[in-house]
Amino acid sequence: MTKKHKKYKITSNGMKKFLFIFTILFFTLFFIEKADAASILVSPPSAIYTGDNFEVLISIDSDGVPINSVDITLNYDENLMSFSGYKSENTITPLWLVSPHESNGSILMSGIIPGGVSGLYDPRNKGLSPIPLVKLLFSATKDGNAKLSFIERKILKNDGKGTELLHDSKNVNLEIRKSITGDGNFDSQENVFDKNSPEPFAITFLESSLFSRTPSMIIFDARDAGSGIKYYQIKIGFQDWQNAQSPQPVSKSIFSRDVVVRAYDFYSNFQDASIRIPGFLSFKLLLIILAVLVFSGILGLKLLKYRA
Amino acid sequence: MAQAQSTENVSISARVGGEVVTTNNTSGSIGIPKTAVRFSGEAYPFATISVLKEGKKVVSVQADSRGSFSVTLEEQYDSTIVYSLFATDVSGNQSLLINYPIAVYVGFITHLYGIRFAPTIVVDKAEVRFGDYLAVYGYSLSEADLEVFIEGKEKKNFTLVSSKNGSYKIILPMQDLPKGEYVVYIRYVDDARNSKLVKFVIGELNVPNTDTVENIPGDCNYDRLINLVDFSVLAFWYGKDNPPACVDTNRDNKIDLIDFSILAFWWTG
Repeated sequence: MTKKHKKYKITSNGMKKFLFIFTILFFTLFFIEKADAASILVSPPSAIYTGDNFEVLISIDSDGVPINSVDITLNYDENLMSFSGYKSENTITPLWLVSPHESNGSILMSGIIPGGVSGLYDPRNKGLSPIPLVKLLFSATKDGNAKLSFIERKILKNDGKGTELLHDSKNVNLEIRKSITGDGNFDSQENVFDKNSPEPFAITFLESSLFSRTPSMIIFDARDAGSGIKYYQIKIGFQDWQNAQSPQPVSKSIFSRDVVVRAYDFYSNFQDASIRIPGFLSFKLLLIILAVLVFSGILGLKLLKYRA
Repeated sequence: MAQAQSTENVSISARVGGEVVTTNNTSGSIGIPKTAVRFSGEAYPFATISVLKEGKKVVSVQADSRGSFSVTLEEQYDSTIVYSLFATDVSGNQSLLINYPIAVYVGFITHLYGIRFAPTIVVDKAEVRFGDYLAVYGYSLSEADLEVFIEGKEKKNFTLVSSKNGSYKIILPMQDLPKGEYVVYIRYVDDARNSKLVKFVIGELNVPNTDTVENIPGDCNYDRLINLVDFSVLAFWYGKDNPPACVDTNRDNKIDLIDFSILAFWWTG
């Protein structure tokens, strides 16, 4: 009896310990799972050969949480591949604050999705699908194992407070194989991605109010389906072309001036847009002033003659 | 009382000989020329529902007396399209914008159903004298259970039921809340979708809401719209020192991604 009782006690203690450990493990795993349920995904093609031009889709699985801002820095292997632009086709194009561009072996991008999104509604998939953000374009220059790794990443919730969304991200290894056909020599000059100009775009002039600390400026947002906008240049009146970005401060001068903005894609195709910035003096006002001056002059001369 | 949660679902349908056949199995593709996207759900009685496609307004429809609506847009190509919907109640107050990125397939009607807008919200004061009252009102579905939240130095919540025509009004006592900045918002009970956040201050005076134009974060030109113009003004100050108060949406004296996120939340287009 005692023995039996003792045995029962041991079992009970063991059960309690088991339940305790199980409960802790369950909750730990549950919360870890919860914290990391959202993630940034990198989807490269399954096979890449030297000389290939390929797309890497960056998407966000927000776990159904509405998000509206992203800031991503992605590192890639410059020795094996080169960045050649980005595509917005079939993606939820953010309003870029910093459009995808290369800087020292990293691709930086930052933008907002006005109103926020929770995911992609795709009737062919159950539930919400990940948010397709952008397709980065690369060219495979050399065979080897290339790595795409996140250096910085920030996703903000669409909650009116800019709360950060906890998420994880997985770095991706790409195996670039030697071209089977033997013609895998990469020609960086060859344009296979994009032969079309950016789409026509408009320029808006925002005039500064009297007491505003924000200057008068022009805003523009060109789109390019093939490879994305790489940079802008601006020509104000008879001045030379210079690099620009939206918003671009443009001060008002005495007379109106024509401003031309040229949007270049990653393959040097360009599109121009222009606007006339009004001056402080209009042509009509100038004519009136001239007429008044001439009239005053004539009157003055007559007075002088009369006195003489 | 309406208690349904705003859980949108999407289905794909095929139109065959005038009949709409809904199917979730797309393996057997049928060569059907009709391609469309349909949105249906609930807003407020007789509300106007506007649909934007890639940021441009394409159509608006009126909800019925129960607040139900349905709108269908014809499409032509396989593509991912971002549609945005917002509702305007009979008093002219707008809901927040809701985005629906949808994968559209040629030959099919994609139906997004179960949409539910959070109630609209207006307050009578921009500043409430300490110990006084704040009136919160707007529109929701008729006879719906609602919950009002006040968040700031302290948090409080109140429940109420809307009237038969969808209107609601609640007078909230501010006696127990310390002076400071607050936000108030409303949502259906057991629903995750919040209304617009409305800022107010508990201070020394009662200042009617109509006397202030600075109630929308980032609206530096005070046109009560948040669009590309406001984004551009914010972008000009991005990373610069000593930004003006109107662009610094969270008042932390710097313009970073958080300010843009707050602007994106308030976006009207």
